Amino acid sequence: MRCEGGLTVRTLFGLCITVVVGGLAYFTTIGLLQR
Amino acid sequence: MSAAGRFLRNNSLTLVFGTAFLLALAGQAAAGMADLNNQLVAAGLQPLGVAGYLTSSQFAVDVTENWQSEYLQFFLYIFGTVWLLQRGSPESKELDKAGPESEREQRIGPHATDASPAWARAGGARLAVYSRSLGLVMALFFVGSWASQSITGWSAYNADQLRDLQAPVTWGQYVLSADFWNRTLQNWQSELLAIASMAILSVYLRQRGSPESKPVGAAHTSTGVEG
Repeated sequence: MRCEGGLTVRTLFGLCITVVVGGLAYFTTIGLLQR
Repeated sequence: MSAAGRFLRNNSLTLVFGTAFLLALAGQAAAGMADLNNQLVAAGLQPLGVAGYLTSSQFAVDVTENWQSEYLQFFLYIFGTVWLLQRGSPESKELDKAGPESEREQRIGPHATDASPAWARAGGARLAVYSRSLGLVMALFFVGSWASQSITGWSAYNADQLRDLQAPVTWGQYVLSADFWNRTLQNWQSELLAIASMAILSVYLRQRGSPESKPVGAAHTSTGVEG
């Protein structure tokens, strides 16, 4: 499941987890810093 | 077809919805900033710039309160459909299959094949975790998003309190407040309505070619048949 550019289905899977976990870390940090 | 073209086709569901998510988030940021700045100007305060709004707790709570309800929806749907049935719905399992099903049906234990994921072949704790991994990750994302909503909402609420010359509240007071539960429940009710609607509408209605629908000619009584 790899194409020439090296982007794989596994990469998309990791990207999804990273967006959600990274987003939550970012937003939570904002909330904690501005409380 | 080139390798890149094939990749785009094979992953179009994720790529299209992922791109649409980013566009909608950008739109939300623009509209949310305009809305907040209207309120700030009306209160005689300085409006925020783009960087100021993207790092504000108001933006953060508006995003996280929606994330938590979406992940709650998927968590409940994934776990609920193990046991709960809807006669005639492609979203439901067949009526005699409620529950976690046999090792043979799930292709685990002695029924695992060489193509099965390593943790499905492993047995023991790894199999127990992997057998629930989709629901567990949705549950973790829900709990994380809801906790984040409680913190960002608390921060945004206190900013409003200070603007109105009112005393700020503690986190414990905020999670018992009307603001927190109004934000939470207004999202939950819409997700729960959508689940119930999907389960029952798909009994009688069809969408040709969609795996979420039964085949157009399938009987209304056939359950667990996807198109």
